[in-house]
Amino acid sequence: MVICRCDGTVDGILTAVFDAWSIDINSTEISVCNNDNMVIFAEYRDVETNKEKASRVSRAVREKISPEAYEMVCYACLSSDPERGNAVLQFIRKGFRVGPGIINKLQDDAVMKIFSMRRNCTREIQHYMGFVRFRQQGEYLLAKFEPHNNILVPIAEFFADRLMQENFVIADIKRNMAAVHAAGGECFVCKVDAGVIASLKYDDDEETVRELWDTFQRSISISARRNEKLQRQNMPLRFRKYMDIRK
Amino acid sequence: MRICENLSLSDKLEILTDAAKYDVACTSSGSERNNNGSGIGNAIKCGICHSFAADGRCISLLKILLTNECIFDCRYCINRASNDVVRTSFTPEEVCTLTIEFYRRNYIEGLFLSSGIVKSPTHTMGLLYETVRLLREKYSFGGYIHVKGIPGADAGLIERVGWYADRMSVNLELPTTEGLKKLAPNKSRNIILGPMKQIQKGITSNRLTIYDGGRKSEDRRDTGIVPTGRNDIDIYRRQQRRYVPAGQSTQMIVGASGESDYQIVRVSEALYANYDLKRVFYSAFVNVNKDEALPGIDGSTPLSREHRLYQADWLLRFYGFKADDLLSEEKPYFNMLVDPKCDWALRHLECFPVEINKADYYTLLRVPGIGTNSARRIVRARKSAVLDFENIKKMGVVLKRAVYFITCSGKMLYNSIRIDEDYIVRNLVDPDRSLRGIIGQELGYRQLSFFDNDGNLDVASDISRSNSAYGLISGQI
Repeated sequence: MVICRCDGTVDGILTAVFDAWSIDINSTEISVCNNDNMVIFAEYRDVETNKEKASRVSRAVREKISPEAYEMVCYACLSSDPERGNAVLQFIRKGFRVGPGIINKLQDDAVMKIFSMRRNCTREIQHYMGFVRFRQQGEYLLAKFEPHNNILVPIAEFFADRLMQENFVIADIKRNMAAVHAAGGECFVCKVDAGVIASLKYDDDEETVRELWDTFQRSISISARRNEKLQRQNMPLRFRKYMDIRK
Repeated sequence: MRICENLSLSDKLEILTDAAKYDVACTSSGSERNNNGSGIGNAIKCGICHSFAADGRCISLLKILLTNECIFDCRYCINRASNDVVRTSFTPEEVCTLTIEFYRRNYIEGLFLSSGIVKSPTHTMGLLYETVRLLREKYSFGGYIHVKGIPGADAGLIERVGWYADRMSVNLELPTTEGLKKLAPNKSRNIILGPMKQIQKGITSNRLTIYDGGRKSEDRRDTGIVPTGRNDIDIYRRQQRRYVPAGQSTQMIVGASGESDYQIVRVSEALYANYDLKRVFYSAFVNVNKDEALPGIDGSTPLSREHRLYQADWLLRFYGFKADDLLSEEKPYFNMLVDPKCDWALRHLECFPVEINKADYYTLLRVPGIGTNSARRIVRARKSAVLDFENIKKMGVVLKRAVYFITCSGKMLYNSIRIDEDYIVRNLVDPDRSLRGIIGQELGYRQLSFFDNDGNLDVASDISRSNSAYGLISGQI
């Protein structure tokens, strides 16, 4: 058995899919992390991310299966599941055989796997669209978050449209990545040194607006209907770390 | 009435938020547009929740009153003229600043602007209009805006507000005309329904011109900056802007005037059918004024009643149910033990069980535990395979409820299940006896209790005992 080791990004996984095809599709797996438990009697190959190969796979998926299937694959690649490489490989393999109908075959475990990874990812995106908080830092707005899935790119795209005329930085603390957007311009996503991320401290001259927001949050709640359990269910504690919620 | 002139912005925000908190509609759904290219903000179809208050309700919009001064004296309302509370107002500029500063930090999805009635309905509507116009034009705000239509205001003003807002709502206040007469003496049903009809007509004719005119509607920017000319409705029309793109909604107070659930659901059904409303919101009555015409101090409506009404509302809008399916003159209140859909199913056991692999979409939708998503997934997936219980569970069917009403390939999940009203209700309602936790494992045993006198101890008698790890006791005592 051959195991292709890739960097776990969308392009990385699609490159590995390409390589898996050229090796032997029936006996190849894709691993997305380096310090995995190694499998005995398996041959490991490191896959270098290659845009050309990745885009050939992406075109094949879009044309031979469907654009929806490609969307599912992309979200699955952003998932934090360590098995995502294999899941994508199996899904694409089946998809080439079945065609566009593959996305409806939820009774198939390979399809269900991709489906639920996509669902997990889009749900988290949906949460963070609301729960990301910006703070004014002199010339720019800064937001920090720690998502389970690797959703910085879709989140940054969303805010690039919403806050088109603002300078902002969104930092993914967990993965040491940041999206940087200049007013009216493009949005870049890049790897950032862990030290730089840690040095992004919030200024404290933001207090006025934060206090107004605090006042609003307190007054809008109906005290006769207090229900913290429901609040926690709708807004789990893990989201609140960077949300400026005061007791 | 105390009117305070020199309050800080923070004090005003506290007072005017507090005064708006009983308004229930805080959704930001229904509009989809990109940034207009020069300002801030966009809108997405499904809406976004930005936070949740300590009462568990979603905070999506900056929900405030423009002023809590009011010339009306509605008995249920905290801002009524006869209440001795601190009165204050925002200026339009203040509202805009708050909205933009909150929006930039991603605290909110937009603005929900309501108001007490100052001087006259028309005067108030004029203030609301000035505020939203300023926000859209000077601040070039492209986020979501929900504005209240004030009954009795000049029709031209309501029309103009509609060109700036995403959603408008006119409060029905109370479900019945008599209730309205008793509790809101300054309002009447006709004055409320007038603007509702007007907005509905506006939306319809706007849709016809935009979508049927054969013009290029793709090039149009929804909230592009409008040339600031006076009288502008013609300009908006020419620009092909969307009029109230997220539709209109309304809300009513439940439990203040003694109406039954059946009456309320009938009213909602009529509103959806005749006024094309997007949503009807229900607000369980909280007695804030201790008024003698209202239910007593502890007469606040339980939230469970509100919850049942919302469940029924969903059944009306997405599941093809009619008000008369759910309730009737003889049975005018919802069952507090089981939800309205289960309740319907229990009264129509002759329609069950439903075969997952054959039943059409609408029949599937009638099964408790199957929603629109899972029904759609089932219909698509079964084209290529025969589905079993394991499959549909993963697709999102809530087997805990559905298991009594469905078969897969002609078989029920457990052969001990009986299609019998008492049996199903008991299992659905009593958490100790419910199938929860045992689903997926061996099922069919029941805890034996010597105090059980419901005569149903034969439940487990016909199942295979061999797989059960528990010493199974069954039969009659």
